Amino acid sequence: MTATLIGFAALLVLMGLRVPIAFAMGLVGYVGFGLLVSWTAAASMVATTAYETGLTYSLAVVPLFILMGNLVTQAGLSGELYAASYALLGHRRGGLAMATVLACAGFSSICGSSLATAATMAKVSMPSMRKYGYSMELATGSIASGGTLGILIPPSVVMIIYGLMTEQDIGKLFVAGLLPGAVAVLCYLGAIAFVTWRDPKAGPPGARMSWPERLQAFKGIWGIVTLFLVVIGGIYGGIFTPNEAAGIGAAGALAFTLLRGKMTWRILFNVLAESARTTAMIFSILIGALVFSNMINMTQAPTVLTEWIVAQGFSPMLVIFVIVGIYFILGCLLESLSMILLTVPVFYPVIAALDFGAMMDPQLVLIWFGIIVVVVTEISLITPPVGLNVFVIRAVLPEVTTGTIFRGVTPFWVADLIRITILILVPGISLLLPSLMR
Amino acid sequence: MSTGGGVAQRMISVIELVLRLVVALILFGMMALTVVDVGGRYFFNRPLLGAFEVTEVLLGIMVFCGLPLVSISREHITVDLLDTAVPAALRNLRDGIISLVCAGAMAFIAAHLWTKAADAAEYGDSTATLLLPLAPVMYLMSVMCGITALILVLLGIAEFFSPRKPSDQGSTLGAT
Amino acid sequence: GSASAATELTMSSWLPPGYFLVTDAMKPWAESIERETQGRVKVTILPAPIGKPAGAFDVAREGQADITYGIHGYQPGRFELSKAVEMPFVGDNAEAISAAYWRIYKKHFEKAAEHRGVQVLGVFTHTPGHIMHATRPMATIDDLRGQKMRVGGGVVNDTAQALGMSPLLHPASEVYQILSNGVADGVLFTLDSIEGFKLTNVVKHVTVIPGGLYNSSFFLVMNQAKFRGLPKEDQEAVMRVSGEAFSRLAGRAFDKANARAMDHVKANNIQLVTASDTMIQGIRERTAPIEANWIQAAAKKGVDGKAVLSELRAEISAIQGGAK
Ligand code: NA
Ligand code: NA
Repeated sequence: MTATLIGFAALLVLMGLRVPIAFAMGLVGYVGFGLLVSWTAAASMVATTAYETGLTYSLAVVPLFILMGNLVTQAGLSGELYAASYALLGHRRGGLAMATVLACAGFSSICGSSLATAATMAKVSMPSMRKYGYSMELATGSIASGGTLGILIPPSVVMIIYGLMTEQDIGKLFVAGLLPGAVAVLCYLGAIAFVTWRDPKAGPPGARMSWPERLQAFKGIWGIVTLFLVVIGGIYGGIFTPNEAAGIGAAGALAFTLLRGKMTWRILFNVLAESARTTAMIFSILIGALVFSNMINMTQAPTVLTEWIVAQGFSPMLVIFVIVGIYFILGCLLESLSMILLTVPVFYPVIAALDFGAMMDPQLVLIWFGIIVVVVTEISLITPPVGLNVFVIRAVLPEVTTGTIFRGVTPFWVADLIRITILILVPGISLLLPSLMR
Repeated sequence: MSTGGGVAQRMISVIELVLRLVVALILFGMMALTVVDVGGRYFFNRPLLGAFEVTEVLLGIMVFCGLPLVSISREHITVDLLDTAVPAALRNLRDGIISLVCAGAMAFIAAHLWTKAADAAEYGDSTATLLLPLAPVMYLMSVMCGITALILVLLGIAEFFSPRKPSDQGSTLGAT
Repeated sequence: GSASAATELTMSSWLPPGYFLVTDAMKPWAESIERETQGRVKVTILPAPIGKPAGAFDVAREGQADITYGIHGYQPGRFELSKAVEMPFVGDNAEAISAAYWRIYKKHFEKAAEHRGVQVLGVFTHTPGHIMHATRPMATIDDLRGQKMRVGGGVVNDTAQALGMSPLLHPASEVYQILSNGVADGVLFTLDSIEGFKLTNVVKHVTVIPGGLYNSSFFLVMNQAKFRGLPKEDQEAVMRVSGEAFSRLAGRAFDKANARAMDHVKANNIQLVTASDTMIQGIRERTAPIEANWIQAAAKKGVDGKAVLSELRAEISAIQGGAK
């Protein structure tokens, strides 16, 4: 246990010195393994981990889903999504912000990344919110928070990685994210309603659309709906494995961009190369984290921690709330992907050992915990000081200060607290759909 | 910059272009392979034998060919929590040193992957169905780690001589 | 003696902690090591495996963990001789096969040094592999033609091809998925896998092949330097509970699981047929070249394959007919 704590401390120091996260985890993992086992074994372990992670079939979904998201962005579908959401909600008080959240949810259903969702929707939704005089806080807050849905509503890169680490079915995890995603949308809409009720000037209503206009707007999103139905419906119906769904989804998105005349050889080349590069970046973090967790494995900390918690006889709910509390703190400081990679190997054996009794099917406990982990990760994306979604919006809208955005996400952050409490107390929201999958 | 720097810059550009082509083709290939596999299964009742293994090998090659690209575009995620606390002059020094340390790490991995590849070659390790030999894949991975190390050395040295750039928040849109 | 400081050996185990091979073989064996050495050597199973199952052998060889187990066929090209027990019709009783396998290994295979860099603590097999299908009974050899069958690689891959099936290689964890969505028509598997991989709803027909259509060869190994670093008396103590003793233990764990699986199959209305003599004869004829090829490959390693195979079969029936 002491070795584990020293390892985490060393990691924080290296990260603080701005050593890239992948290397920081890899270095600490290597040195720790070397000290605990032997230096030759540690070197072999690093090389093996790098090689084996590269050749992991179930991770082939990562580049394919990234490619799909990037192609969809290229096709310019985000504009249509926003138009359709606007048609539905734009005329209400705070309606443009509500439309933003809804459009984010729609985009999330074909894009596996929260940062990409936030970046894409910022470009589309900001101009109209500006036009109608929305407060910068509400405008940027709704984009930053709505963008976090990218990893909760399937497909999701974070779920893939969680599934890999905990040996859970990626298809089930994806399906489990659907209802919590709906809950999230409702909570965010509630937050916007609350903000504009307190201060109507923060979000004046937009123009009301006629029914023919609305129908027209909805026609624009058939492509996204089709892609979503094929990909997630295919997984849910057992027609495709997640790997296949990702490949088909990417090909479908490519066909879509071709149909819309948005594709040239140069664009295709760039989209492919950049998706591959992002994949390599994610894999470098993954390899670093796996090296680190091999070191943690040698310290046997997960066993010690599990045995201790079981011996104390803490109630499972208490354990969950404590873990979520730890995630809140870590989520403020750490980059999200590495936060999951570092903590899940320690926590998931603990969760698996807990007895939730009649509360849920023991087979699905780790699916439910996966949803909890994804939601705390979403929250980490918008909490200061390290909130990546906030940084992304700042990069897209350089004139807005970071402080404004952090103020803007506060009501959404409160909505998130309510949401995670609901998801913890009512596991059925996460587990209903996967339990129907047989 | 001296001519040496110019040559290094050109070399990096060539490496970048070649690797971008390679990874783009591989990713397209992975997508096409899935479509052909699934299509073959549903329409002709004939899935591809070993599509699974080919996908794994392609993924491995793509990831390692992508590593130099990640370094060239400085896409590695860092936490810049204490950035403002460090004087600008020291930041160059710090980033240069870190780049060299990372280069050392990559060179270390390259060397050990090379050993592993040699082992695999000696044992004749291969995939299970198609019997694709694995040693060449490992050698390639090792070479890519070596190239990444080289690039990190060049970037590290450049860091010592270049004026401070504006804060580079890496664009990491695919990650989370 | 150093009473205070026990030598701790780490074991990397890639099967789930509750899986019968872990609870009925690995854990009891680990405990017996501690007992047999009077606490001087302790085997600790790590909370999570190091690396993937396919790399297990190297994990021990390189000393990442001290002890691992794995399947020879996961690393094609490395282990030729282990295929002897993967041929069709090796036997029905995993304990007898495993005990005989260990004796043959010591007598004929060890000198070929396929397990370099490790101390071999056991070689064993599971219970026989049979033919399972999602929709139709496979009653004749012609039924098998063109069927897309998931196999685990190794000799079974050749066997499937020799019988006209088209083998699919997918991870075992994906079998449920590929059977339910029609990617595969069936699977060549052991009976315990039906429950182990939750296939109860998707496997409708099982054709039992007496003696097995295939088997899989497993190893339990320890880092060589670590083993040699143990005092002589502890090395001996470790080997007393390993070798044939462990191989039998592991085989017995599979046999018990197989018996439970038989009950499960019957309770869940999965149609079970035993292959007819004609079918068995057909399999025998068509898979004969596989055996011939192996005998050639074994010759290259200085092993008389033909003699070894008949010795192995004789040994298995002797053990099975004898005390156990
Ligand atoms: Na998503
Ligand atoms: Na944060």
